[in-house]
Amino acid sequence: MSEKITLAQGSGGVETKRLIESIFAKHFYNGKTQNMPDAAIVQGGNKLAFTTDSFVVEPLFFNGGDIGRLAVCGTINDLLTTGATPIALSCGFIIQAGFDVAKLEVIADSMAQTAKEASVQIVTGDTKVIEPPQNGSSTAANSAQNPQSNIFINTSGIGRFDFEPLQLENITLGDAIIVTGCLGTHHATIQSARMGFSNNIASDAAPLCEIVQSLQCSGVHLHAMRDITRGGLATVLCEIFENTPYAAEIEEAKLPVLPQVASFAQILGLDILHMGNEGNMLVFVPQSSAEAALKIIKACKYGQNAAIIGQVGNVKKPVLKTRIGGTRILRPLMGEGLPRIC
Amino acid sequence: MCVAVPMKIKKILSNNSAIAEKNGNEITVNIALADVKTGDFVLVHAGCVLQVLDSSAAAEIEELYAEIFEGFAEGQAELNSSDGGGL
Amino acid sequence: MSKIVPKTAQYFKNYSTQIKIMEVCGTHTSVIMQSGIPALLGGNIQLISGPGCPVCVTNQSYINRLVQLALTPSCCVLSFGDMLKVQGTQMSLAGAKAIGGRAEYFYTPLEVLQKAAQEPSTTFVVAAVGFETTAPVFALLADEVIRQNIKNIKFLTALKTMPPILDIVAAEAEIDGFLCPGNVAVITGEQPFRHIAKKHRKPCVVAGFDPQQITAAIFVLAQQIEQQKHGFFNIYKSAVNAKPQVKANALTEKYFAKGDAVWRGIGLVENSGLYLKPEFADYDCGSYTAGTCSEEEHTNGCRCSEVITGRIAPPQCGLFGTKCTPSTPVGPCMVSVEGACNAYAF
Repeated sequence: MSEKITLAQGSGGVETKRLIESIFAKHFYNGKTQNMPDAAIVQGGNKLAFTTDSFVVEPLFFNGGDIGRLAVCGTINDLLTTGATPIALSCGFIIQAGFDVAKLEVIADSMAQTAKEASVQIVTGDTKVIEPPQNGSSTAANSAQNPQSNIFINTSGIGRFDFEPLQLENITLGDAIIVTGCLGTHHATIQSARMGFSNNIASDAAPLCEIVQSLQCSGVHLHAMRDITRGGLATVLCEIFENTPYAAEIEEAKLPVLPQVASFAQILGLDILHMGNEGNMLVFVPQSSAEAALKIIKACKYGQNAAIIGQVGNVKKPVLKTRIGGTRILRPLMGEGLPRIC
Repeated sequence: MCVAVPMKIKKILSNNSAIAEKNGNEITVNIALADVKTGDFVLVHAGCVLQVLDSSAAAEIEELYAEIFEGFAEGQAELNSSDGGGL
Repeated sequence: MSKIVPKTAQYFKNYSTQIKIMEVCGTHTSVIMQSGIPALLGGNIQLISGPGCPVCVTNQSYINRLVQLALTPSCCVLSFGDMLKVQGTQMSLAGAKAIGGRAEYFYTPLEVLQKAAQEPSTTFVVAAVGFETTAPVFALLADEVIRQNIKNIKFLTALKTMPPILDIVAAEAEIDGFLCPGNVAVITGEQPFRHIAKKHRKPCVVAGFDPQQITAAIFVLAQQIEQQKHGFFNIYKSAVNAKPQVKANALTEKYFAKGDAVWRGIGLVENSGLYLKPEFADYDCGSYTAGTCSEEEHTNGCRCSEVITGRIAPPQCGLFGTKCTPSTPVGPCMVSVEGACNAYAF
């Protein structure tokens, strides 16, 4: 097979079959290629959780992960926030001709490993190949004279409910608010890579099945969950409490942040509260269950930095008590959250 | 207008550049505007060192703060600071 | 130092006179908002956000020129990240990108040297925006570009200086004291701010960017105002000397000369801009024209100058919430996320 993806490989003929066999079937279906149906048949339940997400991250490969791992984690975590057990994923690839096949192999392997870690199967997919990038088109990581071929991935996922579905409407005045990991880590990783900053910050992209399922099995009463992705904690809290008579009161001193990430943000004038993650969950539980829930989360692989950061209180908008004792009303991210001079 | 951050000079690379570091973040900075040496704490703005930070001044400020608050508490102390009045 | 906030808390709470303190620097505004300092000040000490955000005070004509350059084939505009969202008459640089223009952000303008070498047939236009803190950084770049005669790097400057605008604002009766821009003072030394205190008989404190230090500065100002004194204090001595930073100023003066500049929402302020000297005109893309073009027709009704000087509150401006919103900002008070009008709108 060629070293670079060609348009022929997207046209549905012999070359497409060879691509699927040598990469996707190999990593996702244990090499099985005989009698592949057009749709996978999956064991479901009375109610299903269903979600979709697309991934266009740049750069494709970064400290701690790649677009493949993101594509699997993102959709799995979205399913988990509803309290569902993820069952199966689809993945659609749109690849620009000229893309390195070796890179595609790495991405597919990463997706397979991440799915295996989460005990979720990738059961169906699709591949399209489009025209290579033109000279003159460029992105931040590209030069106009030498544009790199890119890949875009969509994953959709279904989950079944072994426990009661979770909804944001369950959030009650007095609930404790827990974050399962350090803030802003993934954003800092991507921004570091884009700007050529040298550090050891690695993406926190991870499937959070162990955390969620440990909580569910423990009997702790879960009210709601939400993952902290683009826009960061402030944006997520503003969305959750947009039309509610109460909102989050959180404490800056309790927010877990890696010192390296905090300093990175300072250098670029970024606000940690507007920097996102890919493996960090907000968990709302009754105040009486907070300590128990925290203990369970901290015993999990991706929950060791978890912390109780505040509670749902009698305030109109999400508010932060700052380290020096001041008060700051939180706002959602506006614009792109780029480095500032001002 | 002045996003700038104190960093430590880890290694001098040339007359004009050095590696500055803060909590594991390392960047190449331009040092043409200040006289820096390895180990100095410097103020970094847009990739350039604007000033070597004077750590002895930190102690001076602590004294100033102490006087500010003692003066406040007693309602009496005058600090010698400039034309137009002390505290 | 960690005891400053508790020590001042009672004093601020009991402060009985209504006073207005201007925090001039955009980064001070940002730290103040992020640290929630206004909530510590009681009801009578009001912080007014001043015009010290060089990005926010770039006039629309300058943005329009950048947009035009970004949309020009074989041309790429480079700027600080926060410049990309500032609106011109039709769009921002981000808007130009969306319709095929080339605009990218840098952490340091010196990044352009490598980009220009990699793409010799592209002209890179550097949006040189900032105050005295940043002018030397652009002077370093100019030094490289001009010495090496790099043909595909050009400047569009909107550099501004603090003393002229401070002079204007301090003359207004409404502001009682000034929290002075610490990193500008690193370059200028104490003198310009001592001078403001003496000339306008209003207290001035040069402070850094630690929230405790800012709180201490506000405390000193509040005390001075209460005692009807107008002292000058430098509590950022680790970085700010009495004298100016020699090398930085020398390099800035080598390449830039003073000229008039239009401040968005305020108007023309004499001698408040810095432009490449005439002998370096080959490296400039029309900065003086872009920077002095007044835009009455676009900003008619904008009352930022009155908001900035504390004379009116945001809702009193006729454009507030109608023509001027956070996503369609007219003047700097709305352009800046922490600007008085933007914060109020939220």
